[in-house]
Amino acid sequence: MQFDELQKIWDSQNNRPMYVIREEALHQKILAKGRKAGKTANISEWILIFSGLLAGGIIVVFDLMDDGGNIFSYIAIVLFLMIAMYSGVNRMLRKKRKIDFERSMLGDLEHALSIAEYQVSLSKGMFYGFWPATFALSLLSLILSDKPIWYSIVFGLLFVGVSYISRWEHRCYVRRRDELKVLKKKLTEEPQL
Amino acid sequence: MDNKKQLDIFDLWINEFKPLLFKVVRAYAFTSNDQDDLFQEISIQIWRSIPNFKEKSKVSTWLYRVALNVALNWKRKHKKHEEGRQSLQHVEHILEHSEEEIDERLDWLYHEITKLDKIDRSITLLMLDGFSYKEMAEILGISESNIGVKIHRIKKHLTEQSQKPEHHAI
Repeated sequence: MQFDELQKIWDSQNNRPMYVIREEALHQKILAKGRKAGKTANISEWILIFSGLLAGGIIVVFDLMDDGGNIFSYIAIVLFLMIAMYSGVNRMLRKKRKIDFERSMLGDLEHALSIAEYQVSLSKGMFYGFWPATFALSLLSLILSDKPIWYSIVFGLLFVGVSYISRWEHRCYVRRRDELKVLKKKLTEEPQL
Repeated sequence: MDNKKQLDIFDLWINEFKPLLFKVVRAYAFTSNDQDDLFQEISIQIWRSIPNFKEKSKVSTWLYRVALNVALNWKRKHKKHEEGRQSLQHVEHILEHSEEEIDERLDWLYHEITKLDKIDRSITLLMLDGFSYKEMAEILGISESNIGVKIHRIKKHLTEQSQKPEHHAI
């Protein structure tokens, strides 16, 4: 078969739509999905802000109960508050961000890739640096404050849980970034004739 | 832009350009559930894109750009349905297959297109829908010469596939 014939087969579908759209259901889905997307982002951002504030707040309460903390607890408070602040700033930036529909496919891929690279480096930093440091400081602070041993055990278990989630998140971002890299390579490569 | 105006434009675009959207859906999603899901994702992005449309390009070019970008990044969120964790009866479908007679040759062509990688699928759809190299370069963001080479290769591949003995019935 020559290509012209393939083209005729392709064109034959233009006057015969392959699906029927249920318009009313589509309208409802679009409005509902739009609302849901905003809600999901909102909830995850608030969870991060709240967790940072709560964790920092708990250490402050411990310090107050002990009539003052130690250097490790102060640093841990600052780090947890930084997480909350970071999440708050990210939320503000998301709200300001305008969806850019002017991009080409390559532009869209590059944009997605730059976000993916950022997420990979951020999650790597969180997994290997930020979380271990914050938990180590908090743990040292707990040990030095003469709290019962189960405080430290609970805190340790919490660290294991967060590390597991953080590692899983990092792997997801790496997979996504690698997928995008392959797509970009495929799009921009100059094929050999 | 108020909601009423946005909805009017949306309905107009969806009705006028549904064949274009269906082609993208069929080339990138294979099961009925996935086709429905991808169509919804594309529709949502089209809806959101309406206030940004400045009439610098044709509506068809704009819609192809939005639809292909969504298709390329689309994830199968409803995989759980296929795995049987949730009953399919509870999934509300937007698309229903029309009662038109199935064209086996068109089915075969779609089958061949879905065997291509994601990028080549986009190029094939644009090529078959008669977009110029310039328009394709604008949608894809790569040079016209690169597109020319890729199209040459795709045309050759599809023609060769159609000439294989097992496809003589087509």
